[in-house]
Amino acid sequence: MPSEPYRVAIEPEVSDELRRLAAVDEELVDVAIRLMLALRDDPWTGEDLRERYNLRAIKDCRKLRFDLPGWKGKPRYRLVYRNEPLDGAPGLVRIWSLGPRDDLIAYGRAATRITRAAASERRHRR
Amino acid sequence: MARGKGAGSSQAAQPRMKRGGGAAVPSLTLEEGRQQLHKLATSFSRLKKPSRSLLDRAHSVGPYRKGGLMLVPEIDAVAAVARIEEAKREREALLDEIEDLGIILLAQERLAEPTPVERLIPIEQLAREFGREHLLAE
Repeated sequence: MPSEPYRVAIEPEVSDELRRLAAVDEELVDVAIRLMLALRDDPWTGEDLRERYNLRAIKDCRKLRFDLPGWKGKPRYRLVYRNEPLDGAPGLVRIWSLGPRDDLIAYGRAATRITRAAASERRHRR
Repeated sequence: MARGKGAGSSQAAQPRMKRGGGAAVPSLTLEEGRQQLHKLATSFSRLKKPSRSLLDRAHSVGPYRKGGLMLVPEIDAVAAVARIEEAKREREALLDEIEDLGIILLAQERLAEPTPVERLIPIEQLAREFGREHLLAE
């Protein structure tokens, strides 16, 4: 454990995302804030996405799964963050996103639709 | 092994009822169901290979051939449940990948226009804003 805690800071939008979580259940806010506070001591606790996808965009990007205490199923919420500048060096833990896993899935789906449409348009142009 | 002989021979004369997915299932009255139950159970128990669909060898039974009960070979029912479980696992794995795709896109967006560090909100401030200052002391 480092003698100095790491600096954890959130993107301004995350504040709104946390408010939306509060509307679902106030206890989710407790869980999310506890998780973010814990990152001050251990910013490597999240799942490293680079291990699964060798993409530059997700370098140093990690995700944490969470849910209400006592929830029996798979965790339904995600916290996405990035360690800046590099893992292994003291820096900033930047919280990128916080919310239901379904939002990320919807985002991914929308993106694949856009990509498909763009690819189809390119094919038509040829 | 082929379909049960008894089940197959009784199907020819029986009206078939359209079911979900478009499969036509032989339809029996309650009395016919009673009479054929033993024969069907015997033929079903001899089956060695599950069918592709749960309805392939099913028999619908009900008053006036209007259904209400469905008889299916055990081997087909077990295989159908296994297929559902496998589909659930595959769906979950695909959703995991779509979720990660969402994160990759989010990362691309965030990195394209990074918020200046001075505009970020420190976690301690956020905790206070949400009335969670007590968590800071934990």
